[in-house]
Amino acid sequence: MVDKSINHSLKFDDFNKFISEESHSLPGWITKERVHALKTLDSFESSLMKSSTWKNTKLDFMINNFFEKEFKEKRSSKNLIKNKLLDKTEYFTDSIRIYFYGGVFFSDEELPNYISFLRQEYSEKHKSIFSLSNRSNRQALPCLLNNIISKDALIIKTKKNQNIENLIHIIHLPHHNLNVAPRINIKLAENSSIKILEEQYQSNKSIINNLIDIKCDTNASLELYKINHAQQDSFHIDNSYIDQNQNSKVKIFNLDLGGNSANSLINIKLNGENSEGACSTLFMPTENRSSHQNIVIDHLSDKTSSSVNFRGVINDDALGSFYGKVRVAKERKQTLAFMQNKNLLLTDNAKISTIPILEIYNDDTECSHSATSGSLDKEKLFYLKTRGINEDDAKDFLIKSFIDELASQIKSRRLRDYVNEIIAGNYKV
Amino acid sequence: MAKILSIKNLHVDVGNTTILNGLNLDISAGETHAIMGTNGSGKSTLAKTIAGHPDYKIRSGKIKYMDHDLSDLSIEERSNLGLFLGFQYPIEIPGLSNTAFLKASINAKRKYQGQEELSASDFLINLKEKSEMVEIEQRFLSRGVNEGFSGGEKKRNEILQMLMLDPTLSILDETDSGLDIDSMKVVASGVNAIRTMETALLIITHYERLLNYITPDYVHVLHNGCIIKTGDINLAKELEERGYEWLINP
Repeated sequence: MVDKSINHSLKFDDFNKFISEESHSLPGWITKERVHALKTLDSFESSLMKSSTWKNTKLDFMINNFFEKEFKEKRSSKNLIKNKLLDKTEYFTDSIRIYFYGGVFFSDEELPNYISFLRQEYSEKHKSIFSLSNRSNRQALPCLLNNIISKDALIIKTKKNQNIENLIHIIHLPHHNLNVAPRINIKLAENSSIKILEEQYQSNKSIINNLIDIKCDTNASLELYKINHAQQDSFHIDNSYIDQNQNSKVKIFNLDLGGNSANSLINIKLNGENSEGACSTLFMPTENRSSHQNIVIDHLSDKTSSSVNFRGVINDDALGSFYGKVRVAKERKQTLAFMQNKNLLLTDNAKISTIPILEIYNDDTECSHSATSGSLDKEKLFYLKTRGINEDDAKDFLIKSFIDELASQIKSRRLRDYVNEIIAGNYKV
Repeated sequence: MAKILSIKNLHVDVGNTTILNGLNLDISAGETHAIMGTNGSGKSTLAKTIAGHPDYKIRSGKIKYMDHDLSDLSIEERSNLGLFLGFQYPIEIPGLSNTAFLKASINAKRKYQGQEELSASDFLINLKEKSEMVEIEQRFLSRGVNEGFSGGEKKRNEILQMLMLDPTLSILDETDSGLDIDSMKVVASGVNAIRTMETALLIITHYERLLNYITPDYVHVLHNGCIIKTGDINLAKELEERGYEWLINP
């Protein structure tokens, strides 16, 4: 018998009412997808929500407040853009800027033909964006909820051999008391390459359920930088699904400053021979925020390699968690996989949970995993102080050195400086 | 000569164990003292206690550094007043460059003494000169503090820090351990460069060989946490030939 306890919290009457009200302004095929997602939600096995992915998160906060929030933004985005972003423009003057606000994507510049928005045409050829076929069980609930309320998608589709020089800067503007579900769909054609910075500004009292699907064809290359500014009283999920074909390379760098409950779920499938997936994350919640990091990498072909490097800096009364799994399928040979999670707890009340797992079903594999957690090294502090550096500055140096070991791996100087500036501006020892 | 360090009847505990038992030592400006002794005699404990390591508790006795009661000074204040400890096992700090670290140290001292920060160009000129003295290549300076350094390189890096900070009292805790002859000569040359009539040196060592390059005015033998014999370089030579037994069990 299916445990329906979560389903009792989900207000199906409210969902039905929501879908019905919105159906007037949406094409029929979108409404059908929403109804289909709701039916799937009804049969959803909620016992999965007690799994390691979700047990530390405040999922009930999202579910209980789902219809307490607005779905449409009443404030104008113009002032937000002007006030928030002008001072940042010097970093990425040649970037292509796309905004997400109040449930829709838009831009204030002419966009190249490899970028479009679903709501420009609501063409049914994009139906596959809402497919549920590749979703893992652990990510099912947020995906289904995204399918139900998402009314727009950002679509990026490169051509064969297309190397995009400009940085694509996706900016999620701050929301207040809103429930939004941004949807991003990226298809990188054979031999194409792209660099993307996705930035989530601080929202207040909101639910943000972000879903990004990425398909990398043969020899395609992606650098993806994700910055989640510290969220205020908001529930934030970031789901990323990445499917990689032969010889493709994906590098992800994440900076997560936490939220009321901030959750990042990454799934990388290395489907093609010689494909490489690497993910580095700095998660740094402060005050009473939390940051939950979850990554699963499937090695589904021969000669694939992956690298997972997560560092948590947990301050004040904050909570962090890391769940990392690398799976090597039985028939797969010559796999290289590396997973490391290091955490720094800066106060007695800071908490961390870390679970690194290797599931290896083949001997022809080189894998390692490690997890360490602790406070600032006393001997290092002493060493710095014997050189005249005071306690606060010494702690600051050690925290920065801990962070910098990861941040220094960002190849682009501009992005590295930008990330360091955000860390310095938001994070005080 | 002005007294730089004065230790009276010092008893120091580490955890529940008393390591120093009534140690007395006076060091005046212009002097070089060496402390020798068997393993566990308390040599490093003495060095760390003077530097202010929190695990080393002064149960009784006094340490005066120049005109200050050392127990009134924090670790960083001791350093800013010209006290330097060369570590036996220098610490690695990846992610914090040697250059940034040295600049922060120098400017912390200057700020404490009411001086302006050193300009970037003056700092770099000084750094280049001192790093050449201890044969540390420029490319090492952008690396993390002691990151990937060999044992000898770490010890030379300690001497580089000492040269840059220009201390009044330098305590070198087994700086010679693990060094080959060439590295020892480089280290000794660096140390001798800061010996003046206004500064003082306390060398902690197991072996006589460093003292052939840095001639001490006094050699003290530490045993069971207090000094049992004081002499000059000839005492060190005798210890090298006869060991410690004749002193410990006369």
